[in-house]
Amino acid sequence: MSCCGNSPGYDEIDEVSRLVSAKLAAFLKTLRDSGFAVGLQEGRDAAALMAAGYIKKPGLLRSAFKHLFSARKSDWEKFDGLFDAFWLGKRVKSRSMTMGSAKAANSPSLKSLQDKKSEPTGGEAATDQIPSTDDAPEGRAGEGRMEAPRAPTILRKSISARWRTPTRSSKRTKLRRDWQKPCARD
Amino acid sequence: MKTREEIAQALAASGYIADGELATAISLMQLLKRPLLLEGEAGVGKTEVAKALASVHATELIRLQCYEGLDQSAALYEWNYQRQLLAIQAHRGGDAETIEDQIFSEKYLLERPLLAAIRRAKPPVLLIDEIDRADDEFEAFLLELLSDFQVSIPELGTISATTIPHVVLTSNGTRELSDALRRRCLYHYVDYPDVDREARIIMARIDGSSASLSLQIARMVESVRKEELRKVPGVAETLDWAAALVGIGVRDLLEAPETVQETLMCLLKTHEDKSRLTREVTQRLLGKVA
Repeated sequence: MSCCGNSPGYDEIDEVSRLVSAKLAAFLKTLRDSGFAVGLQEGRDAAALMAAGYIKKPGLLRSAFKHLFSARKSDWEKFDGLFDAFWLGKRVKSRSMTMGSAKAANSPSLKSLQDKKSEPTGGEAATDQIPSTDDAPEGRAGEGRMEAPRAPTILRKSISARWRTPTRSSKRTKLRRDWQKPCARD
Repeated sequence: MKTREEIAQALAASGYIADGELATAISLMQLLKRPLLLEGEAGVGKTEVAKALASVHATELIRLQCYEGLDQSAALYEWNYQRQLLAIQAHRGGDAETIEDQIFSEKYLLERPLLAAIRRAKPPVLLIDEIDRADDEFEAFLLELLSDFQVSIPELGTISATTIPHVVLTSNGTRELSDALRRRCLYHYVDYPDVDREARIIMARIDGSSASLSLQIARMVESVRKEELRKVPGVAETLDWAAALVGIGVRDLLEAPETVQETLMCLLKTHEDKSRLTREVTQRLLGKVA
């Protein structure tokens, strides 16, 4: 079931999968907080996709997750922003919309965003996130912008420590480089 | 057929120009054995996806057109009452239980699209078209089929799929589908194609449409879509218009503004929309095509 060539060796899988599973679980929580109906089956399928090699190609993984986790047009439209913010660390800017699902409007993460901004214009106002293309000054980063919910500190440290370990560096460097590459949109 | 590039190429060979995301969705259908829910405006090519997919797999397309009041007897199975009555007549005087067992056997079962789709030796493409037109009850009935690929027939028991069909559901969004149904499916929103892709669709589908004319048509249609219309033209309308223009012998839209105006009926389906696109508006839109 591989889409992207051979899988890594057993030792590699074990360690990588543990870190990636924790990160995936955090992403699923982010999606739920943003109004996505994500169940156990979706989580299992997502893990299967990552194990099948999609993790090596962020653009492909984003597209695959988008099909898997979106259930309606409103999900579809905000997914890319959430993915980029979480996995690629891209900043997203918020945009108030008069349309959108009630779930999204009620989600805690989006509500916190709305609270920072001015009064909403209507009862059904929801927030849509789109990737930011402009570079705002550091001091203004919080205005109308959202950072992805970060992975737990311990996880980030584990990942950083792992990247710094000299052994098995080539595969890890390649993996890291793949994830830092700009994501081509279809 | 594993990568989305291969899938996109295979779809293109069958006349469907897919974007990368749709190709990914189709590869996931195969990988995760999940149905694909296609949502989008009417005329953007949702049904065509299923037809192209059947062509790519060189398999049968089984289509279930949904409508209000659609029930199990039209979608799943029906007993052949005439044959059952004949059998009862023929075995008159026999043991009632034996006759009953006989007339409620496979021999007297009429397959409808859903049952047919799960009993084929080679997995077919099952198109459940315009699911939003069906009732909530029918949608609930579909859940068992879409999650476990099995159906229950009271007289025969549970019938599991011989092979798992490639299931494509389409919805125009006229009714909100249940979360339960959505969660069983992969989701893809089919939007109007961008100019480049629409031009490639025209070239692939309309013989004699040059690259420059196809591009002009695609640009014109994109401009028309931005006007305030009651019925925004879909890809099907674009193809109709392109076929009309090529048939008439137009090679350049800018050289035939009168013909463009006269053939806009292929794109515009209501009187209100036709009256909106006056000659002046058409001229303005043609200006953007150049």
